[in-house]
Amino acid sequence: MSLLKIEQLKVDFTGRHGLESAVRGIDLHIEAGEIVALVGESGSGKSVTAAAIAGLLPREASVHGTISFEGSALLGKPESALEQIRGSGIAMVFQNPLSSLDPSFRVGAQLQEVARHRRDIGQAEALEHAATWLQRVGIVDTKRVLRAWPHELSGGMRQRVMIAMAAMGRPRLLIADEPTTALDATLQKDILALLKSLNREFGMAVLMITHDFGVVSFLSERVAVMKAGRIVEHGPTEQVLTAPRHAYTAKLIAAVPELGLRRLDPSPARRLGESGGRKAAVSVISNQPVSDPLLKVQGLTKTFVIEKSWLRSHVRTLDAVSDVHFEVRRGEIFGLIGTSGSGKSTLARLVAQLLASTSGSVQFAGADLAQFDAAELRRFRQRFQFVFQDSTSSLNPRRTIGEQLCDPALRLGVARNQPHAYQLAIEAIERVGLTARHLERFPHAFSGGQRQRIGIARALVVKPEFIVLDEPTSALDVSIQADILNLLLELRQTLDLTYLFIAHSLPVIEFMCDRVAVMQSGRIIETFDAADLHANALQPSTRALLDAVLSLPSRSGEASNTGSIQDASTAELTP
Amino acid sequence: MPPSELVREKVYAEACSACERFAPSRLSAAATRLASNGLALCGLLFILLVFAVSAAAPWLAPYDPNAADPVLRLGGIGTPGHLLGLDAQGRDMLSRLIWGGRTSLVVVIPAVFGACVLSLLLGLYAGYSRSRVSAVVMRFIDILFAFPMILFAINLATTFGPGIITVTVTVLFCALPYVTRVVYAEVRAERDKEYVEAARALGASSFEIVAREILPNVMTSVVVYGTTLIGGMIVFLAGLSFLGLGVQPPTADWGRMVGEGARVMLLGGGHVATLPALVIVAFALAFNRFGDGLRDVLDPRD
Repeated sequence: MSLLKIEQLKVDFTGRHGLESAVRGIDLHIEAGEIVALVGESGSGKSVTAAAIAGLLPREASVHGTISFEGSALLGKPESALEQIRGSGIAMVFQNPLSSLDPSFRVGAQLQEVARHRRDIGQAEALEHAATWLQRVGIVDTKRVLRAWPHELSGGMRQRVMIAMAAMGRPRLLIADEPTTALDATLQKDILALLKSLNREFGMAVLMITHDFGVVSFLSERVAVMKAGRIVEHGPTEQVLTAPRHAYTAKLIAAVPELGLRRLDPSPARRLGESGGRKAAVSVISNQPVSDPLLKVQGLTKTFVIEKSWLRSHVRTLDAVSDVHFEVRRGEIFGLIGTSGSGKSTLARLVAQLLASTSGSVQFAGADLAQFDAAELRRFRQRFQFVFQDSTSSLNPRRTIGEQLCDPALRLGVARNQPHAYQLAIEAIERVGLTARHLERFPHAFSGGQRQRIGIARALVVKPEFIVLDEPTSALDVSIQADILNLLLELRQTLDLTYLFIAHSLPVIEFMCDRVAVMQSGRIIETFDAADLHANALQPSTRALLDAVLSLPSRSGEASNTGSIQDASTAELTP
Repeated sequence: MPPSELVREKVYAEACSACERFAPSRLSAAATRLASNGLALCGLLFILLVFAVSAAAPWLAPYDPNAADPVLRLGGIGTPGHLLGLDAQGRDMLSRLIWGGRTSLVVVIPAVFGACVLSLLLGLYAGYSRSRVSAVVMRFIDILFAFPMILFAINLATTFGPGIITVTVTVLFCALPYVTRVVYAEVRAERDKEYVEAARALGASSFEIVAREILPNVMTSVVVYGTTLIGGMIVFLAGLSFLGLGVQPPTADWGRMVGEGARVMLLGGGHVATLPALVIVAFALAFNRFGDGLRDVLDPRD
């Protein structure tokens, strides 16, 4: 008897536009002690499935089919019966631990509450139980963590606390809904290793919901791929990842940037995904770096005052960026990588003159930006643009796309008048793969990937020479990311652009960038040629970042996917 | 947040990301949305009705609102010839109600509208600017909050005479601090958002950012809050009129009618106060609903 058996699960939502089908009939089973991954992009229905299993769907959802846990059906059970199962039968860990932990209670109190749920033990004993579990999940300073408030802990710590809370009841099945998406690579690997060890030690089965194939490869034994509410492929992880039978799976896997992919095609015409085999039929402007640098940063420092005080000694400051030097040559893609809190976003904003620096200089095309007056600054802005990470918040929700594209064109003098500005807006929007009729819409009408394209179009409309991209694809699905990265490479070639590319994912950096600088605690610890990270990275923290990359079963030896995908079992494998 | 809320958000994001959104022209979309909001439509219709009736008062009212018939005074609803009865002086209630809307329209609506415009200016400036002056502005608003409005009205009346202008200005200053506070808070929240940063990266000056980026985002609150205030300001006007600062007797004014009618409530003249009170409530509700409807229309989110 399977631990969990899902048969023909269908979930529909009664929305404003009628019935919307989130899950269209899936079958899945999980045996005791297994780790199964459910992978898919946004909209595939994987989270809905997880919610259905745990009985957490909102009231507007109508569910059909069978979900049986240890033989007994879950759907249709009253809430009281489900409460019995949750905790010791099925437990769940969510993506964003800050909103999953109650901000008004200390961590210790929340753990105590869970420990005493259905178990008649005293407060002190529950606290001890909680401390033991915190140690099990790798937290050393249990006393401090138990007394802390959720907002005082880092993201990684909070997620460990969540896992402790979930695992405390010794559940037979743990559902993890993208628990590491919001975390850095090194933390992600630790958390996944933790889940693996809990699985081994307590025989706890894990259903891992994710969109990251690296996670799938590292953690799971079996995987099911979801697309638009259906499971298109399932099987043992190794088999599915190396020899996918369905075209969609193959397309997704091909779109994942992997370390070592650059070596296959290091030219500026390289592309991710199935189009990787085709040489881009674009006139290649020579991207040989010019001798003198386009952007030169020297001694850049930014200190924030985080605690003001009348007493000089009590003023606390934070050196977000300390004494940074680097140069970017024309036509180059210069990468900047670091964990969260390393100061890369701050550095990007300093360079783009969105923040005032405390000291140091930034020179663009030979001119010192600090000496600029208002008119020169405007001219600078036309040549130097910025693409933000979060396209949802970087677009004004109350203005149409057309307005948001035309305004900068007029303001920075690229357009002579309104009709000309509109023309430029159409050009820019078509460059990024959207159409003119999209200009009349508001940002909320678009998907995440489309909004990011609009953000890029907005930067392009003023015809810049240099674009700073602050983690432009971090929030996007795998295939959308591949599209955007390919688009950026194509634009670089056709428009002769230079990029400062910030990311936290090493494979993306290796694929995109010519050179990369590694940041840590506000400083650049090393700069090297990005084409082969393994060979060039020297500093221990950089190597730690490299080790944290979760790789798929090796595809680097594969020939580019020009042939038909169906018979992928004959694809070459290099261990 | 309860787990089901977390899941709901994620689940809706997943479910809706695949849906195509169509964009008919903005105006027709706005009109459709307003039309589908039944209550808002009723509110708008009632407001328009009041406007029409007040404008047509000279032809609509059966009697002169100030003509008194002392014999029939305090006649109840259904007195032959007087559909809604008569007040303490024997004046026809229906005619007075028809004429009574004029002051509310002429004083309260322009005053609240003026307050909204002024508060937008003040709030946008104070919220966006990081200078000391913005703090001074907000302290001035605090003073307005604390200032007893009746005193303000009396002072104004002493200087300028108790006329329409005085009352309008008083109502404006009464409503001003409330709306300004709301605008200020919203602008402060929007100021740190990324699209403002993006606008700066695209060369926008502070003025351009405030006028073109932030203003559209705070308009909705102003509209909703402003319309909500109308009902309260009508009552405030009644208070002023009662003290002799606003509408002078024998002019018909809803609020004043309530005040005068209260005195005769126990003498068999319950309808004298209740009828105008009901009309004020209906008018305020109509504006509330309409304001809500406007907010849904102006907010481009689904």
